[in-house]
Amino acid sequence: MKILVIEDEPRSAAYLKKGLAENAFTVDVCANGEDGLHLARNSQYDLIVLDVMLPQRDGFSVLSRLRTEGNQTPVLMLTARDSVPDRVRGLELGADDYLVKPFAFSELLARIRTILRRGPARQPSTFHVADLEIDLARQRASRANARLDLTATEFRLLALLARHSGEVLTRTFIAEQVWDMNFDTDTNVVDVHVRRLRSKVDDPWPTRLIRTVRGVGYVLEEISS
Amino acid sequence: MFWKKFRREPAPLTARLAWWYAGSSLAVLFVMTGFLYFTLVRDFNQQNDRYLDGKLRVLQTLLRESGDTDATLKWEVDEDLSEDPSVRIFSRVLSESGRTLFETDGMSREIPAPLFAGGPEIESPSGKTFRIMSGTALSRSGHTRYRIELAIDTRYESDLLARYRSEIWATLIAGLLISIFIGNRIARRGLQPLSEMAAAVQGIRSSTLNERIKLSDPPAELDSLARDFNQTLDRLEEAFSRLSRFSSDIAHELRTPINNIRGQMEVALARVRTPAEYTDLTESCLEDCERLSRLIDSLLFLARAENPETEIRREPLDVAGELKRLAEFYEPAASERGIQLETSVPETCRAAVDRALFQRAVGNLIENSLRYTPRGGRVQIEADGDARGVALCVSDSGIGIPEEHLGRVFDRFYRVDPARAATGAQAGLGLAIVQTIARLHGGDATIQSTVGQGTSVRLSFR
Repeated sequence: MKILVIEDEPRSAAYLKKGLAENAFTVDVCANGEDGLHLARNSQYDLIVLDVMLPQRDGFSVLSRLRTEGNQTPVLMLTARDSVPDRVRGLELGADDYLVKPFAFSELLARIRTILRRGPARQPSTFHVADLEIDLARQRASRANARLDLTATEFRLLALLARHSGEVLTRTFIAEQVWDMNFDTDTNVVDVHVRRLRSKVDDPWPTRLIRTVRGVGYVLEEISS
Repeated sequence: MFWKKFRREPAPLTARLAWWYAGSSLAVLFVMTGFLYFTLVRDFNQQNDRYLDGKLRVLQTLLRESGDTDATLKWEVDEDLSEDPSVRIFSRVLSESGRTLFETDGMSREIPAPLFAGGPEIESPSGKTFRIMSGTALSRSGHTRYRIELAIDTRYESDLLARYRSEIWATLIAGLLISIFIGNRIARRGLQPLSEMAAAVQGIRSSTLNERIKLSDPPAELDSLARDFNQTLDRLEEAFSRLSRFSSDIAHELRTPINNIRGQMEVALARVRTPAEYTDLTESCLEDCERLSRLIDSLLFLARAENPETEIRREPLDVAGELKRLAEFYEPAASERGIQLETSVPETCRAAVDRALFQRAVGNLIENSLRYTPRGGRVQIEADGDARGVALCVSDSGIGIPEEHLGRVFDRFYRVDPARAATGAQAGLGLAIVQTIARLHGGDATIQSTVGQGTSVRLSFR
């Protein structure tokens, strides 16, 4: 998967390149809108990460040029200015998603994967992580063939983690997806929910699958040690 | 371009007042002098008529007593009645057939008989003006009838009146100048407190907002204006100091996490650490970054809410369902702290509110309650709606807030216990955000609290 990052701030560009490369993406970086537009026209990318504030040609302009020329490469916009008109403008011009700085890198990664997953790929109805099996259609989860007794909320939480297995999910994202809570909470509410889930999914077994990533959130994955 | 600007500039109040004063006093002066002038003209005419009338009577008496032969008559006709040389009367006695019997010398030259057909004032061929009168007389026997024609020269009065008129004009012009001058002085003097006030207002800068307008001897109207202005200044000063306090609070809040990050990094770099230590350091820094971004989010939210153009996205919301979901969300955290979380909402409670903001407000309140309620306590969410909106109350059996703090708990960065600053990631913005959300919905937030018994916050959404 090839990603073009158009970002003028060198440190941001550097960590984006590093982070994305470590997650198995091929990354090209360029530091201004004009070069970015040129690269986007002349090479084939799976996705463009586009900063709004750019020298020479701003992100909105790059995006609208690409779209008027018929280039449909998915675009994820980054901005430090979080105003509703800006967001609306970006989406109207044909951006696929919009992320406000400061953002968690894991959030960016999750959104990139979501955009790339869109389209023909169908969501499977069952997920497997190590010996954990989650059946979305029948609302059932089992580990090592033993049925897990989960509440509806716990199941939704586990299903979310499973759907994004291997990705670190932030507490805000989890609260939004599972409880439809659209604000940042600063208490350990999500932690308590995850702790409860863990007591059923992880505690009875020798290997833990739900891992805490301090300062970021949670990830469901098989640790290959 | 200049003249345009000049023309558009409104006349200063002093000039307007001066012109009004001058105009009105001039009008009064004009009416008065006009009245006096016409009175004088009338008096002159009456006096002349009296002279003529007297003369007529004398001639009538003489004609009746002695007929038209008496020498006295001739003398009387020639003799000027008045001792005043300026008064000159012409008399003429005619027979019934119209023949002149006697007349003052030169009368037929000055005033030919046909002229007597006119009104009380006539002009002679030589350009003099006369006031005339005519009458009849009978002889004692009653057989002979005479006609008497009298005329008085009014040149003296005309001259006098002409002089008088030019004096009137001079007076009027002088009056105009004097009243402009006086009007100007009066206006200036009357507006003196206003210019004092203007000078005082001009001197006020953002750095001298503590200054107030003090007028030496203010008239009632300006006094109330000055009072209003001072009250505005009070509010401005309050808002200004709040703002500067707010800025220093922000700086302070940013300082703590940045200091943490910096310190940890420096200590870590001082010597080589194990990978586990580096991981720990990075994670700890991430937590501080998280705290910083949350602070920035909250500040941006409050700043944006202050913009009067901020609009909220209202949608019909099932309040009961929403509160139930919130309670479900917070229930594990509550039960872990040994706190009972209860909701009491009528099933049918609905309202048109911005859902994300509603969640945020109620969530903040629940979090506050959970934070300040000891184990074994209880947090209750109640709501009720009517056609006008929804009223909501989150109450707890927590530690409560001392009364002296209640007035300020909705202020940004205000903390009842400053020592708790480090623990609350909301940085003392939670309640400010709650109140802002309620106000964005046209409602408000109020708080009641008793130390040791608990706190309840009421929200209204309209």
